[in-house]
Amino acid sequence: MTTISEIEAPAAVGAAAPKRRFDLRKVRWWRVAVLGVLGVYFVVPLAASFWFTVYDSHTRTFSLSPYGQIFSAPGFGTSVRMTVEVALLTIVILYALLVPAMIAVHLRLPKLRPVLESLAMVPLVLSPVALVVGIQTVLGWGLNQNPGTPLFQLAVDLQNQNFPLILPIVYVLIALPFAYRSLEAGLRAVDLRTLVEASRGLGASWPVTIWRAVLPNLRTGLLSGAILTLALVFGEYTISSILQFLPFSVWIVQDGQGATSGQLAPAVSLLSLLLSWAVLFLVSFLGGRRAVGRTDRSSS
Amino acid sequence: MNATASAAPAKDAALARGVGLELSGLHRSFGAARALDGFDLALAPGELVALLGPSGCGKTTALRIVAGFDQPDRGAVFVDGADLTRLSAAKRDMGMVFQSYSLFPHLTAGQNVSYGPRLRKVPSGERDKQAAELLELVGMAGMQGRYPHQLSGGQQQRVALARALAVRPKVLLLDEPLSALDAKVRLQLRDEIRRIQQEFGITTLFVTHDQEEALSMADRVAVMKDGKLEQCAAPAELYDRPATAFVAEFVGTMNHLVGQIAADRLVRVAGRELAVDGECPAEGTKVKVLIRPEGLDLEPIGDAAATAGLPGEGQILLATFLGATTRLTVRLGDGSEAKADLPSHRAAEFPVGSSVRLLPAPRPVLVVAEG
Repeated sequence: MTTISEIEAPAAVGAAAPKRRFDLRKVRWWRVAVLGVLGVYFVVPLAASFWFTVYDSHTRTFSLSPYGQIFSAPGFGTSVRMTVEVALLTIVILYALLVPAMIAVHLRLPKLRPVLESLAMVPLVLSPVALVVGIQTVLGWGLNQNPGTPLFQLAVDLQNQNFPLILPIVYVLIALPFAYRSLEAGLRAVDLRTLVEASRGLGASWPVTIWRAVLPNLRTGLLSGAILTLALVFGEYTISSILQFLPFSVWIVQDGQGATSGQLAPAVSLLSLLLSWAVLFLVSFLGGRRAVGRTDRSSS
Repeated sequence: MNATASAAPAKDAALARGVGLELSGLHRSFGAARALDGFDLALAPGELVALLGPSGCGKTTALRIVAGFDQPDRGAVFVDGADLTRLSAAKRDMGMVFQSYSLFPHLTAGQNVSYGPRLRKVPSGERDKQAAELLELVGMAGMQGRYPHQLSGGQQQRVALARALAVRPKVLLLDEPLSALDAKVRLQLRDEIRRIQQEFGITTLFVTHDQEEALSMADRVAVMKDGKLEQCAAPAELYDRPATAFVAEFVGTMNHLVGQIAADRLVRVAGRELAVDGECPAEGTKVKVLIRPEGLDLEPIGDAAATAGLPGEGQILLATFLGATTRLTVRLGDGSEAKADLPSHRAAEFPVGSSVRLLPAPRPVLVVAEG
């Protein structure tokens, strides 16, 4: 019986780096100035919005009541639910299309990578207004078919007010560049070929390989792409407004304006902004932890 | 550590012992580049064969075809007599250790080892037990919970070996698994891989560009050139009786001394006549005579004789101490250099700058016509 008795020293995990002492004299003041200007640029509008939501200029009193009214505001729950559902379906369709295509291009057709990248970037230069006008025309053409025909029914289903399927289809296009970049960064950070071959060699089918070996290692890219898509869907106004649906962004403008002297809409906006930041911070934090893990490995 | 008792069940359960592997007439091209050009190789059950050759000779392509990661344009792969050429990699029951660290980064060492058994629906308890035993076998006992980024390169390759063994592979494929490791770990791990391979009696194909690694680990070494097999032989035979000039030059250090064919299968070199092994050009042809450093002896001569520049005479240029032997580099009269390995106690007789005469050992030599 043989065992390996001598083992080389394990990698120094989390080896402590020498601590830097904070020295005020070494602070570069121009950096502080730039950061200060940027801070003012971002903070002033938000602070003004917050001030608007909590200060009643007529009674000259402060109140957080607009924030309390958010969840009971008519239409809030419906619009948020619809937006979340649309966003989730958008993410599912997006990844169902992108993940296999990008894995195939990375493994089998690397020469096609620039082509795929160019295609994925096209929506960046696509005007939402032009896009929605085209979609309206197509949907209108569908509705002009004889009732009962598949095309007519399809046009009706796509514009279902409770769950407008047309929105995730359009949002997939708009979110494509962001999801592509996030996934591409994730794919470049792993040795995809070796992961796939190791898994296949151990007996895993292609679906199992993607599910158990590839996707877990792309989780940061997948998560950041999903968060960007979610934020995009929550903030998109033009398309859903022109198509006359009432997701969250349209609700804020149309219905949210009515309550409490218009203080509800900015209160909702601020709250959603803070939530988005919290999620983005979480993604960055997870990405940072992964990066530290990789650094440890490479150092060994 | 009493590893014998605990690892024995893993050994019994883990592997299907000794199957034959045959690569028959493999052809593979990538565009205009021909990676394999009628490559044939047969491995006996339980044998470790190293594929050795220069970069681009097709050794990794051959291994990938055996693993099922690539398909040959022509030819076939047989395992235990069954044709696996078109079988998916997932169904071949082979274990592979890659050059790059291939552990799944999101899984612990134990989960990596259990990956294959889990796919084969081995119950959880049995999987964990087997993983622990295999990790112990490769010297990683108690490290089931470590993630790959918490392991050194050598440790990762040990886990990769355990993971490959866990699927009871019919054939073990090693794709330069030691090349990314530092010298000390490489030496340590190669001995261990060899010992484990012999214990399990698992048929193993091992790709390497490191001659020393190939010669020290393998039962036989298959030297490849331009997608073809040049020679497949036991290390000693490959070194002492290379079948072709390429093998002779590629494996080990080789001197190229100027000589001339004196008669049928007889070459005159450094004032001696030696038998020619292998192909022999016509009488009178000027040739390069291939002689290993250990096949050359030296004798001291007077300075006057050296300046005459007789064949096989020159001056000591450099002495490199190698331990038991010292390699003496001699600059010959024609400007070329020859290397002779002498026992270190004798090398002192030949200080740098002294004049010497080469004395080739009276053994058959390979010759190459000067072109």
